[in-house]
Order: sequence, then C-alpha cells, then structure tokens
Amino acid sequence: MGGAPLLRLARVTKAYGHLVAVRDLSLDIPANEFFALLGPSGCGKTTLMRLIAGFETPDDGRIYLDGQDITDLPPHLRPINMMFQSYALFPHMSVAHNIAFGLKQEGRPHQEITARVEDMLRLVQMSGLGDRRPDQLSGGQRQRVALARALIKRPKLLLLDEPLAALDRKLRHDTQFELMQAQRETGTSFVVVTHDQDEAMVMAHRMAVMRAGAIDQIGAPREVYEEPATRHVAGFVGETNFFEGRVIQYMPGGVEIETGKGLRLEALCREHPAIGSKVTISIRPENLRLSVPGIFSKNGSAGEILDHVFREGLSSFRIKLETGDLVHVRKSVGEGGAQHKRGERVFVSFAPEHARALVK
Amino acid sequence: MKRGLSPLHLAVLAAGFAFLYVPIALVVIYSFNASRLVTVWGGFSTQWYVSLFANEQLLQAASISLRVALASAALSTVLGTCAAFALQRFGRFPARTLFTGLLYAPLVMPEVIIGLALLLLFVGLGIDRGFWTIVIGHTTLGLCFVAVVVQARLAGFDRSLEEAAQDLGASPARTFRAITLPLIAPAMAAGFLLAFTISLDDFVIASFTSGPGSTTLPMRIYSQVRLGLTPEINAISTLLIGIVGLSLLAATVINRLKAPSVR
Repeated sequence: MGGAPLLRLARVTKAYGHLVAVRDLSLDIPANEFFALLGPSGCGKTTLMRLIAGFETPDDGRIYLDGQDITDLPPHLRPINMMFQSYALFPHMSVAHNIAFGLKQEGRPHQEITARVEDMLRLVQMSGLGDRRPDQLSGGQRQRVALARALIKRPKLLLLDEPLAALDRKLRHDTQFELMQAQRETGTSFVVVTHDQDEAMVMAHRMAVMRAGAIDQIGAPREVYEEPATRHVAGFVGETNFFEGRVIQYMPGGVEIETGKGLRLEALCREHPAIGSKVTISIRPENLRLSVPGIFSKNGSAGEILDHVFREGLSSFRIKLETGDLVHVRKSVGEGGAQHKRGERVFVSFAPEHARALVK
Repeated sequence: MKRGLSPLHLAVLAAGFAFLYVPIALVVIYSFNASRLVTVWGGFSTQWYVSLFANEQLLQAASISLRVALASAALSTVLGTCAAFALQRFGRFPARTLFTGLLYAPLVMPEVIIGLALLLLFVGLGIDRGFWTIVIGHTTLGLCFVAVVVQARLAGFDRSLEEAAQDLGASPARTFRAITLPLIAPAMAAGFLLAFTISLDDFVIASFTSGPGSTTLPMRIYSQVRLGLTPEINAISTLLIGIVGLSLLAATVINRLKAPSVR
C-alpha cells in the first residue's frame, strides 16, 4: 500500500446561493475501507457524495483519487461508480443489459461482457434473472441489480446513496451483511451515505458524522459511540442523556460541573474548559447505575421510575429525577434489569469515567 | 350511487354524440351512395372510390397534402422536442416566460392571423410560395403540439437515470441516445402524429401559404365543392377522416404506453 489515500478531499467548499452545503471540508479515505457518511438531512452529505461522483463541482478545494486531481473530470471519466437511492435502473433494458451498460461504454468485447455480467449476477445471487425487466423485480432484487451494475466496472471507489432506505426492515438487516460481504470480496472502498446511525454502526469500518456542511468527528463506530467529540455526535449516534452545567472545578482527567438545578456531577473531559464555562455531560443509558436511595452515593440523584419497557432482552427505564430532569436507563436482565418496578424510588448515578463532558 | 346509466343519461349521451358525429357519419354513408345526386340515396356502391383513383387532380392534391404533412410533422417533432428541453431543463433562463407564451400562442391564435402573418413574411422576403412555405406554416403550428406533449413526458422524467448512465461511463451525447431518447420516444411519436393530422386537415394556413402547383387536399375539396358537390368528394373525405382518426387513435395509444417506471 502506498502512502497516499485512495480518496482525498482537500478543503472542499460548495455553496448554492447563500446556502453553504459543504464548508471547507477535508477527508481521507484509504483503499479497501467501508466508510459511512452519517448525518441528518440537510447536513451536506448528499452534496459531498455528488461532489465525489462529479455531478457537482466544488467552488473551492480539490478532490484527488489515487493522488490524481479529479476535481475537473466529468462524471463519465471518473473511475468511481455510484448506487443511486432510487436505484435508477434503466426501465427499457433487461437486468443483464442494465448490468452490462458500464462495460459497453468501455467498448469491451462481447464475450468478456457476457462473462462478467454472469459473474456479477452470481455475486448478487440473481443468476438466471438476467432477462427480467426492472419492473418485474422486487425491491430487494432491484437493489441487487443496482449494486451489480455499479460494481461491474471494478471501480476503485463505490458510492452508495442511502442504499437501504427503500427496503423493509427485515430485508434491510440481511442486506447490510450482503453489502459488507460484497465490500470484502471486491476490495473496493465503499462510501455509504446514510441518515441511519444503526446502518453506519453495523457496516462501517470508519464513519464521519456531519453537521451543517462540516465533519464533527471521524472514527471507528465504537470510538465515536464511546468518545463522542461533540454534543451533536453524542445525540445523533446512539441514545444518550445530557446534563448541562458550568464547570466548578477540575478533577484528574475531567471536570466537576454544577447544573442549573444544583446537581453536582463529575465526568471525563478531553478539553480544558475554563472554570465557569458551559459544558454538557453525555452519559449513555447503559452506563447509568440504579441503586437503593439512602445509601451514600455520589455523582447522581434520586428519582422515580415513570415507565419500564422490556424489549429484546433489555429493560428500559424512564426516570424522573428530583431535579426534574428525565433520564433513560437501560439494563440487561443479568444486571438486575427485572428487579425494579414502575413507581419505585431509586438512586441514579454513574462512574465519571463512563461519562464525557463536551464543550461544543 | 347506482352504477350504470339511466334512460335520461343515455339520451343525453346519444344527443351529444349525434351532435358531434352525425354530420361526419353522413359524409361516410353518402360516399357509398350509388346515386350521382349527393342528397338522394340510390343504393350501396363503391364506384366513387373507383372513379376517385382516376381523378388526377384529387390524387395530386392528396399526394401534396401527405408530403406536406410528413415533412412538417418531422420538422415539428425535432423543433418541438428542442423547445420542450429548453423549457424543462434549462432552469429559469432570461425571457423564459415570454418563450413559453410565444410557444403556446399559436395553439389559441386564430389560424387566419397566423396565415396572414406568414403570407406577409413570405411576400416581404420575396420567397416564392409553394410546397415548402406550406411546410413552414404547418410547422409553426405543429411544433407547439409536440412541445406540449414532450414537455409533459420530460416533467415526469427521473433525472437520476441520466446521471446513472454518465456515472457508468456514458458521455452526455451517448446518454441522450441510449437513455433519454428511448424513454421520451413515445411522446415524440405521439407529437409527430398530432402534427401530422393537424397539417393534413389544415385549410386556412395552407391557403395563405400555398402557391401555384401546391394545392393541398382540403383546398382542392373546398374549390370543388364551390362548383357543386360530387360523391367523389364524399369518398376522399371519408378516406381523410379514416387517416386522421387512425393517427389520433395511435397518438393516444402510444402516449399512454408509459415507459415502464421503476420508481
């Protein structure tokens, strides 16, 4: 492997009139990676993908593929392919002709095209369905044809725009693993654009969480989940509880804050906020502890269990603290998730090393 | 509500159709009249169709009309499709509203005025009137119809199909040929047939823009009728009605052939 990344975006900016869709964004994606661009709608992730594909030209900044500047290359000359959200299968062509389209543009010999189309049909488990028309296929089959069509040219990079959005829940689950397998088998770098954090968490080696045209954080899914860099990331990736307050003193590796309701809480902090400045503590529902009130315990507050839901082996509690804050707590049965009841008074607390104090 | 038609409904429906089609039906029926007198039924005969094919003048006019219709429909289809693309794809270019208005104006403008305007233009430019001036006149009308039909198809066109083709390595020109054109072809064919029928049955514009030796069929029929009705006219009219009717039917059917959608 060379030193240069497969794809490099260098300080790319794209605006539509007054609306800045992508702002001064830099990003490196190495070869053979499953990368996810995650963010709410309107965060600029679709624009970013269209910039990489070549359907949009950046106002500023450069895009490199394998060290070569492709910023001004039109889409049909870029060795990048894309799977569209609507799949965009050509309705007047059979499945086989749809898949063969890319190779035909390269002017490949007929025999090679036929053989490679067969290979792709096998890869996406659609052998024998090459003569069908797109409107004779189910949603899941269309998704596979779109994938096969985008992969047949063996692109260095495959862009996938919300690849699972049009599928039902069960199919989505299976397809996630099929996409991961396709990525491993082809060695192509996949860049998935999605608003669904579950998809990104399951499939991606690394993910970028976007907001307002910029990247808040890049990292492995687990890293992003456990060490969110901003309040937006903590809230968007997975469920969390927030406590807002002002820093009152420094602790080893962290800070102690006081919330507006007089609650004093400790948490780890990677930054160095000034005393008195505003920060937000994020604590995941599974990291909150429940204990019997009255026993001496710090870093928490007493409260009352409002609701208790049992789902997929986990108990979820909604608890109203004495300060008026609502928190979510999640416990597996083994952790004593079954022993608490609705209406019960409990003490909710957490270990400082499980919580993060976030400045932004 | 009860499905089905009450006697009153049926009567109104019948009256409506009668109002529209009885005159046409009479022409068709009398074209098979054995009698030389146009208004007296003398038994069934196809003799007027036979004598029609011996009538050089009428055949000559029919041939001119068909050639004018084909040429102007072809021109209309090309220009109308271009106009539809300009309206649907080029965003808000300057004077877009004006262009839209001008494009649709001939649909509602009295044909006499279009004909007169064209006549003034041709005379002013010193162009000899004949076959091609009629074609130009009919194209001004036909391209509006093509533009309307093709624009409707383009409005429902999924642009990501074209992006997908380019993404797979097709140049913009190749994308147009392989993807866009096949998908809007039904609308273009429908537009062609509409322009064809409009040209075939036009009398007003043709009479302003024709010259010696380029008399179209409707003009020939009109001048013959002034000299007195002959059953031959009924026969040629019946053929004309047949061609126009079939073309319009085909236009409707073709345009309904939705390109199979994969949304």
